Amino acid sequence: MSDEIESLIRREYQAGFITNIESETLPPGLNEDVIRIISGKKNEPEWMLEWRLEAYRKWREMDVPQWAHLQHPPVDFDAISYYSSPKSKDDAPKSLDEVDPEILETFEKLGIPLHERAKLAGVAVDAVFDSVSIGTTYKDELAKAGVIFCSISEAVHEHPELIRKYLGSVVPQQDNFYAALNSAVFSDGSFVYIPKNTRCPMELSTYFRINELNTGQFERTLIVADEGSYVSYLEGCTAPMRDENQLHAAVVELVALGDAEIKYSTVQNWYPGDENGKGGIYNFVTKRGVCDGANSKISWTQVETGSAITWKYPSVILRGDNSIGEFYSVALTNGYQQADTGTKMIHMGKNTKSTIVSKGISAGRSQNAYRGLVRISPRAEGARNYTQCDSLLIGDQCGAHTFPYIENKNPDAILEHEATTSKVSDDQLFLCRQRGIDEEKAVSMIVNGFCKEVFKELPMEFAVEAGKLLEVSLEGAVG
Amino acid sequence: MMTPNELKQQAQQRLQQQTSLEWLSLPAKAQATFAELDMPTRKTEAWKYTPLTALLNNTYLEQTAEGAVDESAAADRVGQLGDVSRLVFVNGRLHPNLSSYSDLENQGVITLFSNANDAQRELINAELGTAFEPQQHVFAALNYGSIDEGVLIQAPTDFKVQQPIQLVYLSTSEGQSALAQSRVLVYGAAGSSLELIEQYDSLGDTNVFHNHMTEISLQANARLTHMRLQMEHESLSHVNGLHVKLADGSHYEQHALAFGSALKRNDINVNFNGSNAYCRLNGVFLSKHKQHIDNHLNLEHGVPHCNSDTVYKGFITDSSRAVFNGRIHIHKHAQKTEAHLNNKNLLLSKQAELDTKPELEIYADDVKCSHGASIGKLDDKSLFYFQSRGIDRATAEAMLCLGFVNEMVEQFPNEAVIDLARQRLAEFFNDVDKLNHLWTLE
Repeated sequence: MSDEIESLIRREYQAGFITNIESETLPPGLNEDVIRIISGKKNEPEWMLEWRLEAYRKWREMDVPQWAHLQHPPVDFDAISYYSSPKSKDDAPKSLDEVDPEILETFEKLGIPLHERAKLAGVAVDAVFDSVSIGTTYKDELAKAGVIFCSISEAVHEHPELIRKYLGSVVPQQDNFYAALNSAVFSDGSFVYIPKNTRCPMELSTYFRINELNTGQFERTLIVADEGSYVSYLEGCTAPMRDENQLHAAVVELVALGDAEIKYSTVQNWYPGDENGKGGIYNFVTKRGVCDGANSKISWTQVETGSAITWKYPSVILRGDNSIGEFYSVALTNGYQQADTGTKMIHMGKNTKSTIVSKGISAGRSQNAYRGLVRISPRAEGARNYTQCDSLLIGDQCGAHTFPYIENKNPDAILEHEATTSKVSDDQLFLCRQRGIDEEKAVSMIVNGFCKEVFKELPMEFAVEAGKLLEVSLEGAVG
Repeated sequence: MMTPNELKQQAQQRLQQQTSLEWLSLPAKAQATFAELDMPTRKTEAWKYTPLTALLNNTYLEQTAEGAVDESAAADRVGQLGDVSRLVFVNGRLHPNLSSYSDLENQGVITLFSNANDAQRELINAELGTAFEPQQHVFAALNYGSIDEGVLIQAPTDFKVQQPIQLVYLSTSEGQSALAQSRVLVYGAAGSSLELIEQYDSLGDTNVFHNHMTEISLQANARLTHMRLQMEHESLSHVNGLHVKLADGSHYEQHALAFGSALKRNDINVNFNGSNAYCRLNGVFLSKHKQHIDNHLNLEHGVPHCNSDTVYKGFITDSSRAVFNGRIHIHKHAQKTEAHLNNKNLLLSKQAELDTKPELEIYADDVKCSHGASIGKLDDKSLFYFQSRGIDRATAEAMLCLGFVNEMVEQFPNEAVIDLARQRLAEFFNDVDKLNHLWTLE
């Protein structure tokens, strides 16, 4: 595996990418030249550069969206550096054992050391440090199955026909402000292609980590599941303590063709800011999948505990008949965190089904909002949606909000939406404490129970981690 | 077709006309607010699903609404509720011959703004325009910017008004476009009790734009039972604001039946200002043909220990469109609140559309809140059950629809109102394109 890292880094060299400093970062600001430099550094073909420039021109004309239930100082897009490469090759980890101890420590705290994870059978790790993918494992095994799992920059060179066909097909360049920005400057990310009638032999996984101060992160992920295939993809994130807000505007596109299934799981644990609400990551993410063929399925599961600001709506366009969309979410906010997250289910095909289960937990002085859209188009005969949004409040300084939009144009559809808000009840706490469980532990137990419905959708290793993550995130929320 | 901006300019010219009630302080303020605000467009969140097309296609603002009225036809329309104190407004203007409320007028319970004494003027100036956020209601600003008359209903301390008060708003224009504006201020003093019936109706095909405001202020332990029947002809446009302030221990109940029309918009705003207050909002809305109906509910729980229950049901068919928005806002100190909201809808046609958005915005932890929304069709199993017992499908469908609507209608706390509502429902269902077969209420 370390050979592959070596070769990847060497390739960067060949592109004239040499540096003596710890990392190479472009000066702040964005213009067409910056995009040309980014594209040039990655040695991209002309069509890719044009695509980026087109996105940039559209972005210039767009306004920052203001509708979310979020309050933060405006982001100065000219103060952000739009490209940073990893630390020089001498410092770059040659294997996962050499990963920054800080990240290891975080995983240690979560009970799942990274080196152990990497060894876990069936998990391939494509570690993304800052913006450039530096390592991919298990490639051979995947190659045997015909699965393509590589960095998106690599895919631009090696599978241009797939990239040209699918990049921007789900999230067009001008889709929204942050997606347009990402399309213009995306640095790297993962590309997955599962061939027809193939079950991906292992769960694919990427670790994201923001490493450089003041560096926007613009990952781009594209997963294409061809007819009759199946893939489960895990995305996990951690970031070390930083003082300044960091912007993250990722785009994830999923394409499921006929009878294909994609399961996308996320554990997001970026730096949420300190106890005074200073710092923390601004996370403006566009995630969308399209169930393009009949009987296809896309399932999003997310555990969101990090980031100062979360703006994220993993969505499914149910175009194929009988296709299925699912969204399972736990969003926990503490301190001064703010989250405006939810999903969109766009029913277009006949007998399409969607399930939304969202659990929001607010503690401290945080604000946690669920915002969702369920739209049934006139030809979505027999469409079915079930939505359940529950909020739990811990403390009297926080807020929990629900904004579900339901638009129905088909009389044959059945839609249900339910939302409740409650607090950790005194009775429940009393019961636990009476049995010798301290208050903090008791709250974490109750919260874990509250989230169980979502956790059971996570792959096993993630579920364990997610439970621990909630515990860590809730530290100091009680008492 | 006008642009929203042209409509605003026309309206503003109209606002500059003098009001005869020079002691009122509100019109000047409202005119200033109106000048600041833009007419809503598709990008205005609160009007996202409700276009103003019906207003923009007409010249409502250029003419004043006078017009003769067929008194016997009008009397038939308004006289079915038996023993009530009645005020009838034709195109927004009081019609004395059709009205009878002298008892309550003599007791000082019902007073026209133009007849208000000093104390009442003071009350009107102090209360009117205070139950909502002016910046969010452009049509309220339009209404209050040109007040030439209004009704004050004032229940004195511990006064139990025996008879229901019926306010009827009749629209009639014989095809000519007309603007009708009206407003009511209800003030329930401490411990008082009132029953109010608002009936919005029309005589024949009418091209009126009715812009109405009802403001309600209930003092400690006051009670108001409020029934609202919006049963006008479908050609009319109607924008309605209902804004309520509740003090300690007060009790407010609203029951609404609303048919769609070219444009129908209800904004309901309830402010909990004193603890232990209670509010129930019950409603059923129906739209057919190309009608449009929009209900926007907002419950502001600003203080602890208040409860609210909201149930709205929708029946949408043909090419009509219905919009529902129900927001529960629990402020930071409103602990021990229990607030529930539910919106259930029956969507029957492929050309119809329903957009619903129940919202919760909660800033206090020790509360119990829930909301729900559902959209469904007639239940196949229930239809089968009927059919297996020899009831033909059409009748079965009709019975299920009626049952769905009737669940709300039978909760009206007044038998005469229930009878009236059922009679008009029968008329409504009779020409639903999809159900134009047998429809009997028996």
